[in-house]
Amino acid sequence: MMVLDRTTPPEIVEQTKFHLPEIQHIVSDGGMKGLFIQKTKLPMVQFTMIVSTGAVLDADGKSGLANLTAILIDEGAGGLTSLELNNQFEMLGSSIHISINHEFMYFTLVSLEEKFGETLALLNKILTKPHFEEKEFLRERSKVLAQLLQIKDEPDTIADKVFETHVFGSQNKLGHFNLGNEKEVESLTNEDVINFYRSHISYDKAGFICAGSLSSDELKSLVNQFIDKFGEAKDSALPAFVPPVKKRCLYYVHKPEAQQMEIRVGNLSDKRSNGDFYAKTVMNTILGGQFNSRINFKLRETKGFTYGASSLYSYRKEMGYFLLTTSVQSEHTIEAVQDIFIEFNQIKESITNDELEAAKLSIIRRFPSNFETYYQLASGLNTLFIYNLKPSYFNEYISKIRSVTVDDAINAAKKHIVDEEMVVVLVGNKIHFADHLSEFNFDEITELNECGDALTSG
Amino acid sequence: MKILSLDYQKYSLQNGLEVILYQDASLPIAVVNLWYNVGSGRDPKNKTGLAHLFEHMMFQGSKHVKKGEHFKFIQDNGGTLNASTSFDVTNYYEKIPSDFLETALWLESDRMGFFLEALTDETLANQIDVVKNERLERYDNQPYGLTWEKVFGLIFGENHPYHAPTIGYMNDILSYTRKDVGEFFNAYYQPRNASLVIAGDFETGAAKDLVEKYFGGINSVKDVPQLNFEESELVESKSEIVYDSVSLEKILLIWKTEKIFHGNNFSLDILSDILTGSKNGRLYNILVLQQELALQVSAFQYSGKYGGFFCITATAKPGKSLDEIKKITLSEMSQLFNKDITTEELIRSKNGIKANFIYGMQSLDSVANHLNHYNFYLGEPNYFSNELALYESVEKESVKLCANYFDKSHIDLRFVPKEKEGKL
Repeated sequence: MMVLDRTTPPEIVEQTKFHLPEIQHIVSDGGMKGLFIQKTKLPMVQFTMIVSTGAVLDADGKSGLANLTAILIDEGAGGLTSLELNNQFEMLGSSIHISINHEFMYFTLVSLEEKFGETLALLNKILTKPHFEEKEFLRERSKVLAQLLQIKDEPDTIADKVFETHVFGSQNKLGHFNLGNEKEVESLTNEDVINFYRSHISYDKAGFICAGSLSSDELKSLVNQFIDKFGEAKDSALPAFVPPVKKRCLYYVHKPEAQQMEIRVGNLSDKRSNGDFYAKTVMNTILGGQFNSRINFKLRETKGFTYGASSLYSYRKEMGYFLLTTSVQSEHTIEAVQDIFIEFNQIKESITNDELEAAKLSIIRRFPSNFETYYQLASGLNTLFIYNLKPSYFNEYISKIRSVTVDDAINAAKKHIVDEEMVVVLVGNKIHFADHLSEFNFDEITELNECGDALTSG
Repeated sequence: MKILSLDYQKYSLQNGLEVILYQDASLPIAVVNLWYNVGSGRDPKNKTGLAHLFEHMMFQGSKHVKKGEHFKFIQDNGGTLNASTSFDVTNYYEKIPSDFLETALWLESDRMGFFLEALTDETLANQIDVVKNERLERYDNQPYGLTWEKVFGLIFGENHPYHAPTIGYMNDILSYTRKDVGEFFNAYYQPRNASLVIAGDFETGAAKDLVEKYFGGINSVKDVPQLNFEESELVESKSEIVYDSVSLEKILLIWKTEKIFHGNNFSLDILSDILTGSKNGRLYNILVLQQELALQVSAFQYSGKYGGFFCITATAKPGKSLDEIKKITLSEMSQLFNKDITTEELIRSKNGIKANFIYGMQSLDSVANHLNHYNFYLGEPNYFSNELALYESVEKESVKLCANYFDKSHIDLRFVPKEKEGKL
């Protein structure tokens, strides 16, 4: 028997061609726009109605209002109590999940195809006739207040929250904590919730995305029947973004009992449709976007400081940010931050052809697996919808990634990883970094409490 | 139900490796899912966490694959990969464009057959650090982070394979040597102690040839050690208070139940749904909605190859009493067992379970993992519709018969803000 030569990896001849699923554009009789992919593998439907409203519309002094509205909107509707409504979803084997972020509110349904019409009929009740009873309001508000108390114990959540607030600048609501702050949530009333619903949730701000085994005609007919008109059209555009003052800042929360140091480092960046998107994607894959990226390999596999480190670009409609996230052994805090900055600088200096090709191939070859589950299909459609991307986006994706050059990726790093505008967040025991902060040339250093409020500044 | 009945092939290589092939050509993707019949239940005494550390070591390179290359070969080729360790098994998987199936088999077989040649003090020291960080980040630095370590430690006696946490105790993590790792590999990482699922878009004959090519020459050299331990009952109820960096108090009530796939587990799962599966769950309704004592409450049945338990856990709202929550919980359980369960409660739970079985078939990695799961515990990979039928056969009376478990001793574990230490 011939001995197998294992010393070289198998030679692979790439043969498979991936065919993108067809994306259908649907417009309801009332003018609501939707995107649909038919997938018949399983008899199920993944449907999301997206309303262009969110936490950025929380009025001053009323943080947490959009979130509380999202929580309360299905706590009783159309003559059914909260429990009756929940029971009806469950008897159908369907689920509803309502969530909110800064700019959008999502009503996500998952159901078997045969139950989708009945499921959508329940969504109709929620959208058109929510009860908003005082009793439910008081209970859910007190639950949010308890959650806010709990979050003070979670160093990772504190770090995320502080980073988002300050990277967008506290004058903008794009980075405000959606749950709100304790004092303001305490002052919210049921009347506030009802007003938010009336002012900001209506069919003219809504659209839908769907992946399912039903036909597009069936989908359109059900949309026309159940969700085509709800709420009264109001003019409530999302507020304009006010650019923050450009400075290099450190925000830290001292937790003497902490066992690790939570670290966030990043800066404000452009919106998604900016022309550098593909270059940024490739560059970030090399820097921190996957396991064998530069930063994870250095901090985890070479130095053993952390369980993991990763970076990403996150996008709102008009702005975005770059962020590196890790949690390290406290005693290595300073060296870890130094290493992060070294890697940020090095990727502006050089990227090898091998690295570039590997990153591009990784992204290109992974592309088909983004279209596997109904949830993934709907997520893809959501991307098209919320960033208002061209219908040809997925068709062009691979060629756009393929066309990124080493210079493009380096320039993207130079332009979108900005030393002078870095926001650094540390949550842990300050004895591990307090004596070394002058080494990092921060324009501003601020200690915060666990709620994110400033204690001192210097 | 047709979509829950999968057409698969199962066979064994001469070295004992079990192979399960399942074709699904809907996307040009393949999944390689390899289970080793060894989990943290096999950790040697005073070496807790070794099975989990070993899982990390398997990514540190093998004779023909350098450190970091396993990730590189999979990720550069558009794949994703990971691994996990439980009390019973260690699971490794790659999801890749189907053209690269051979690459994944080359990598998995190299570390199955040629791991020890690449083991060095340096890679071991590095991964001890990484696991130490994992423990600090995911357990020690998280509020209630020690919950499951405490639960398993209390419900299963010192000699039980589930007594110690899978991640291991910190002192043990810091003590591993190359000899420990080598002995563990030689004992458990053999073809006869593993099962390989390949799922997705491939041609059966070619896949069989590749499996033989890469795994056929790896020998099973030793008998796999038997796991022997004496099971002990929870003779008397135990309680413990953990003073932690938390703001809200939390209670966990735990009763010993059954091993995985025991006939009563389907009723116990439905019981957990009736108690806390949704807003209409009895405990959720009374504790969270009506009396507003708890922020959240959940109930679930856990079971593995060597034991199981039923757990109810609730987080109290500020100023609310855990004693009151416990009193109401026990009273509701008693009512449920002594009075009627409604037909609606039963149907609601079964409808949700049925829908989740169908939703669960969306992802190829989930299907592949289930094939290995059923094969490992039952010897039959295609058990989807059988398991669903077992849930559908649950009657009100069979749920009520579960009352027997709750008459016995239990664990009462509480997490309380550390500021209250000495003040209770």
